[in-house]
Amino acid sequence: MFGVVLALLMIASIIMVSCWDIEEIEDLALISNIAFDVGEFKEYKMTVQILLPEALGGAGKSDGGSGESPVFVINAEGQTAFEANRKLREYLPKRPFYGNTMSAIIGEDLARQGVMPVLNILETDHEFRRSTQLFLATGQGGKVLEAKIRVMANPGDIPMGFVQTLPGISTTVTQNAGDFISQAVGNTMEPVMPVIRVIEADPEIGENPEVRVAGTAAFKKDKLVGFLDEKESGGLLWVLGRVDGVISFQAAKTNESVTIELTRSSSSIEALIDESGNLSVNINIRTEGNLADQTGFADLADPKIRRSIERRLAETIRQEIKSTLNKAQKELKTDVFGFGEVFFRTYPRLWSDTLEPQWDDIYPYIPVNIYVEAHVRRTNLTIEAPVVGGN
Amino acid sequence: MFFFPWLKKPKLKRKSKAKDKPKGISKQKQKCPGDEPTFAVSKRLEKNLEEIQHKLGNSNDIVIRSFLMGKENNHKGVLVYVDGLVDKNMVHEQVLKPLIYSTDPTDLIMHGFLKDAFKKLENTSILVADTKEEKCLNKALESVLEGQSLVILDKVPSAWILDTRGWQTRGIEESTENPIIRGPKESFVETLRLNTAMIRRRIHSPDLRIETRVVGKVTKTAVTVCYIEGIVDPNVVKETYKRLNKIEIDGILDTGYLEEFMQDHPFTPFPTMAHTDRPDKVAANLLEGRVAILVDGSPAVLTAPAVFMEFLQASEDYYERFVVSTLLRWIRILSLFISVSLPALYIGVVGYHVEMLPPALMISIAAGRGGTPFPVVLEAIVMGVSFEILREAGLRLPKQVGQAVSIVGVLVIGQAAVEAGVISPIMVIITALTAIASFSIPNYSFASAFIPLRLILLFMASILGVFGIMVGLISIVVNTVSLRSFGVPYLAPITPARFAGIKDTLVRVPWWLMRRRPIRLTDNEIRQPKGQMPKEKKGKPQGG
Amino acid sequence: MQEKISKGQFSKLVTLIIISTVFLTLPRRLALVAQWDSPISLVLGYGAAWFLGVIVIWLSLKHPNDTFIEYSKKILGPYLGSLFGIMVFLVIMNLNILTIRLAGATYIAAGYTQTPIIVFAGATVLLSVWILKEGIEVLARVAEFFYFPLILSIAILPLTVIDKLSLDNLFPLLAFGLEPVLSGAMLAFSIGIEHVFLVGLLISKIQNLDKKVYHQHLYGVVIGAFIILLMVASTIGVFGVADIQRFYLPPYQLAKVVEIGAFINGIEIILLGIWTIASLLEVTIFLYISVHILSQLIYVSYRDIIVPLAYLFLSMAMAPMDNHQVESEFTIVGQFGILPVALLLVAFLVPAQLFYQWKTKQKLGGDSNKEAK
Repeated sequence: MFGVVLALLMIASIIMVSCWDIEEIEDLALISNIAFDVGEFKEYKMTVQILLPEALGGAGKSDGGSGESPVFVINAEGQTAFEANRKLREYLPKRPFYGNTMSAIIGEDLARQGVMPVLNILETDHEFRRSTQLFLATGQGGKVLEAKIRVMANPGDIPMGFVQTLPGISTTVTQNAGDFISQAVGNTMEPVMPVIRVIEADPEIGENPEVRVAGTAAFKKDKLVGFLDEKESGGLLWVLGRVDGVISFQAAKTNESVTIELTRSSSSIEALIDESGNLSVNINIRTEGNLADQTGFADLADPKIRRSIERRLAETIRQEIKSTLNKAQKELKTDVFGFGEVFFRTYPRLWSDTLEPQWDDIYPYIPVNIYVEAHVRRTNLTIEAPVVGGN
Repeated sequence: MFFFPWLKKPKLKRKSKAKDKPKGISKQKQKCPGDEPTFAVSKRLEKNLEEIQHKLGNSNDIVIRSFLMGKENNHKGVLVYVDGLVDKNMVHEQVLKPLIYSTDPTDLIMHGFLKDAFKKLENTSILVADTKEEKCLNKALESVLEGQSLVILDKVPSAWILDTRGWQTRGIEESTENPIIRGPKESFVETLRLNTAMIRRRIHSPDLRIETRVVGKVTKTAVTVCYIEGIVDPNVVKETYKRLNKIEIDGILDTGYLEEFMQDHPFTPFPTMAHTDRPDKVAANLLEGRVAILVDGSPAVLTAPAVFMEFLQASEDYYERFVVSTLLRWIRILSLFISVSLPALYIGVVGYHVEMLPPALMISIAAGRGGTPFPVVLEAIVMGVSFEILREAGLRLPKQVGQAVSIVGVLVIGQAAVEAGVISPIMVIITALTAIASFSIPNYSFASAFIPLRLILLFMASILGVFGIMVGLISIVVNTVSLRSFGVPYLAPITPARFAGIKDTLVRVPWWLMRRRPIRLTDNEIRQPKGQMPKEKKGKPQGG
Repeated sequence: MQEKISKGQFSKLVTLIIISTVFLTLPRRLALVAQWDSPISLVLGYGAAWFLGVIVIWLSLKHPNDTFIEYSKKILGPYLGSLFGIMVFLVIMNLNILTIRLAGATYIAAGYTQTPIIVFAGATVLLSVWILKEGIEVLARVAEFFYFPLILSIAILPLTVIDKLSLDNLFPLLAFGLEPVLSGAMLAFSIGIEHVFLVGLLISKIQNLDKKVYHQHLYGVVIGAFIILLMVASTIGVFGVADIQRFYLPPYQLAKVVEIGAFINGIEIILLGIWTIASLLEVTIFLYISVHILSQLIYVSYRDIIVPLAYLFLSMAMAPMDNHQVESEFTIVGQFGILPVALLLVAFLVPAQLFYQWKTKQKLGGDSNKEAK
């Protein structure tokens, strides 16, 4: 009898306190992207892009996609990212929900200052994901969130869409928050971020601002130190082994342009220490591609022509990597390639005892040898290019 | 349909075994046992008639027909039967006619050689196959009330009980509980003897025991216990009889009454004794070592012990090919899970863990819930209750209309509610899915067990999200695991794990692999030898 | 207590206790000590734990109807045996409290930010008390029922993150010599031998006791250790050692990064559901061990002390309300847990058993066969 009464009391008390953590989904502000900047009044400014599901057209309502914008941008400032997040509630009647936040955009000023204080929240709070994609915005991060592109019905999908299509052109990297934090905290490799720019539209035409993603931002620990342009980003991707795009170059004899579509590529980095204690690094690249397009009439069935194209391809790749090395290693002095990592794996004791404390000084002067092996395999639908002029 | 030649001799009045009665009342010839004051058949016919009238009252359907027999047509006799329970033809042609026309010496009676006369008359005049002598008028009248005829001759202190039973009964139709596509379609009827006959037809072994008791003080219903000796565990049989004998009630109308008296755990929603109206299912259960209990007047037959997994098995599984049956079993287990937990999962995810949803789905759900007035939990409860109301209503409507009303009703009402902006569309989908999933469970009373469980899980999910759902599920499992049915653990072949059982519950291996009986109900486990797999004929390739 | 469990259930209980206690926290603790050598030290540690288990089974088979408290009293004498029992009880009580605490804290860290921890811990303890009141048979059956779904789900988790795995993170092995390996192995050993106490209690409850118990024990330990190894290896492979040392619950983070086809990315809630079952079984088994040890020490029927003991543990677990995530506040056994006590078990009991056997052989003279089996 007593047990029954106890059980009833417990149940009643639980119901009356009304279930601490339940939240109706319509009371949540679904945030699809966020941006961090240096604040004007406080330290950090956080901009959020809120999704309005009704405007996207749910079922049951006969009108959907009524031409209203399905996103809504709002910002707030605070001394930490979390405080800025809480401040949002002064402007927002719904609770911000970050469970499906897909990407975070960092403003340039904040990046130069050091980005870790805002990224901390991405790892600690249980609602954020480590797989949030990061972008660096030239200028204000918040502006990017206001951009619209006609082809995307939901502007909230823009950054994620880029993440899925960018690997195809290898002019920039993709980076998620988890890897960025791991690399920034660790000291074997330095992180990078893709760069997103807002293109202001011509005020006379009055279109919405658009975005362009190209180039990479290089960091040392968590501070922005410089940019790599498209070619240099390509070189970085070569070294990291994540290339999947196209390369164009001039053919040897005829100076016609040839574009190769790269299908498979892999890279390996070797760290060598010779007897006298000199460090050097070998980068081995192996890649395969298609002849995608050319302005000339090179016939790939001819082995000589093919070998010439392959040689040119390898040479172009080498040049790209060299230019990247110049920029990142010598100029920016940041180990975005992960040479430190390779040294650590090969000589762990040496690394932790000697190399690591002085890595900043050693790294810019390490000689790097690049070996590229390139093959051009297929020619798609035609073997012989159509020759104009005829017999 | 002429059943009447098929009616076998009903050993209804056989006394229960000596071990069940407190003291040894061995033979019935000495006294007339029984609760009411007893009355032996007297030599004087008038006294008998008086007693009969006194006991049976003035019921119109009881026919008392006096006649004269004997060489000189001067020996009085009386025939008593109940109109409507007897085969009139048999009574006229085979009882009355030969008695009246009999010219056998009643002088034997006159001279007091009673035994011979009785026997001689029985052997020569009465043309009914099943006859018995009865010295107690009480028991004789009980037999009359069952449809037998009573013949009492003057000056003879015994009566004949003649089996002339025959009444209108429902024809053997297709089962309404478990319709089947391939396989036997017979189902039990309300007459006990026909039902036991259907079982006998399938099991011709002499080890099949069919033993009958009488339960119910007023209704005096015949209850039959069947089992196959040598396969069944004797303890189970003993336990069954023990529980059956403990029942004291005025009337038994259906096996459901018996079930409530005999089950192990009266308070759990799960049935611990299975019931079915299909003889092939009962025969299969008997072959696995179970005990079957039949009640006169009800087509539902109980089988005990019953385990959880057997409620998820349909007869069709065994008649169809095993690959398909295995797949269908998995679908049934999946739909069991869905029918219990889908609304709870929905509330747990949408209310507590929205990050689990893929973004597109989240947008659809959020859009759908945009204008609805109810919180999620209330919506789920309202839809769930409406569905139960519709289903119950569908059962009461005539058969053709009923099925349509329940499912279509949910969808139509749901659609209307969605358009009015009262319910979110995804809730309608969830409810409909739950409903359809619950229909795929073969046993209706088992499926009904899950209705309160569904509500409990819903409640737990609304309090604590996924943690609540898991706590609810674990509670259900713990409760189920601690049940026992006649000594067998309720979740038998799963835990305690028994490979032979899993071969028949989670999958359905081909018959030639099911060497042992699935649940350890008995020590007689092996039911077929090895090496039965049909071999493919290797030989010349077909064609030229 | 006529209840009996089968050998298969015994093996499953061993596996479950090995897995449930640590699959969320071990990667971090191991990575702190052994870094890249965690997988190796894990294998070594659990191997040693298995060996200790074999010794305990050998001991228990000599006294087939007694639990290890009862026969330690027989062998060591009543006072020494009781002292030993009290030590074991204290250690298990500590483990119990930590377990209850962790069971609740995981939910708070994972998403239930506002619910007080006592709801989770209390619900778990309530369920354990219910299961225990039903008896060991029901506990074994519940464990058996949930065994396959639990093992399969935990094993599938690393498979879903294979695309994020970078094998480089697991190397270099043995880079810094044997010292990290050995200290990691000690840690794994001290965790692995928690199951030894369960073994000591359960042997007396197995029906059809025979030499096959060794095999079942082996299966149980191997499967449990393999699952933990999968978990440790995959967390290191995906995150790298440096990160794991910062995470509170690495497998939970692992579940968070699962992305199947950019469509399914909320698996961590399923892991939370799995954790409900695992932590419940763990709390129940530890409570079972404590209850039985105490009931045999002070000669009280075990059913009477289930509820008071559970309530005591619950209150002790809820006591430090300040910081949800500090475990070391109330550890009376140090970082290496119950290692000392378990080693004592072997060190004292084995020679004591041999001595006891020799003594009884002497006493009975020719009838030595009676006791030696």
